[in-house]
Amino acid sequence: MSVVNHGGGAPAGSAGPGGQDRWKTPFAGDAEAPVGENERMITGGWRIVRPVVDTKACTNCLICWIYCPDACIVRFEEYVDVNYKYCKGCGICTRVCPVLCITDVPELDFAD
Amino acid sequence: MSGGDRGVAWAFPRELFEEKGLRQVTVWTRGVVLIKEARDVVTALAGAAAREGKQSQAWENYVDLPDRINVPVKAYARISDRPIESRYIYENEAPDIVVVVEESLVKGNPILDGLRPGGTLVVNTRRRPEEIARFLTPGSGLGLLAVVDAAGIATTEKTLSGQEGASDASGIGGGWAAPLSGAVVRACGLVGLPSLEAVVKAPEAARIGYERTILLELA
Ligand code: SF4
Ligand code: SF4
Repeated sequence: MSVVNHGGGAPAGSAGPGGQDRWKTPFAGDAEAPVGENERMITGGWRIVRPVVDTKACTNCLICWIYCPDACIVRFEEYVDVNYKYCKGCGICTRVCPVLCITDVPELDFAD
Repeated sequence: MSGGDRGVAWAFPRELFEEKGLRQVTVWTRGVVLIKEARDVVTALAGAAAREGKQSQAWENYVDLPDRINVPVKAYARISDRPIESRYIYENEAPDIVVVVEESLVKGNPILDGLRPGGTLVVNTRRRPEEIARFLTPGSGLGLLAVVDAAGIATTEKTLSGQEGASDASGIGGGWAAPLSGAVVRACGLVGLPSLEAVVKAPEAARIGYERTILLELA
């Protein structure tokens, strides 16, 4: 990971015990976002309805990906899909999709 | 143990919650949006029991609170013909009756954990009981499954009135809780229908819920 010094932090030349980088202020735009799943907070059971993406109709505009409060939209080359392990069924993606290719389906319509 | 030497008039039953005549109800619902309905089911059943001279208690699972939208949460009632002596445990670990306010809770939630053998499950759904049964853990000892389309009989009441022990200005049993409680009465006769009708805001919905309940006996 490259951390760029944008002027904050300790004065030049004052490398701390953890080495030079320790004293540099990271800039959010440069820092990689953590990618992970919390096995102790699986929220898929909160769903009353399941958002189902019609992947053929999806234009991959990524608006749902931006809006999903739980980062549950998974990106593929030409479409998106949903991580149902964590999706809470809040319905936001369904509302914001400009081509209406997401449908909320009652959870009990699915066996899994 | 007797509390006699400190002047306490009660004694622990030898086996907690093995008291004769005690029946425990656990209601599962979804946080914030449907919590009022669960609270109303236990309050209505406990209130109806009290009218019949029974002993009753109703409360919410405090660990679940403060709740968040859609999170599975629980409310409880205990009803008995005699003074309820089991105490200091604030969750129903071995319910006789489980009520599900929103159908999808039957999936992936331990709703039948600790259920007493031959216990009853009441679900608010438009689906047939056979369809609901497919989602239930086998070997739970469930004796009777009852379904009622409470959502088709009444609309939900969404209010924060009555949250976390505050007094409820919106009244008890004006929404889904009335037909759902009616279904509980039909399934296991916990209280009489007239007593339930006397305590809920929508007595007609309670009666229609009672009448439209579909029962499925399980082995
Ligand atoms: S329903 Fe809500 S949580 Fe699920 S993918 Fe859509 S926006 Fe995300
Ligand atoms: S908003 Fe709709 S079209 Fe855009 S990426 Fe999401 S599902 Fe696809």
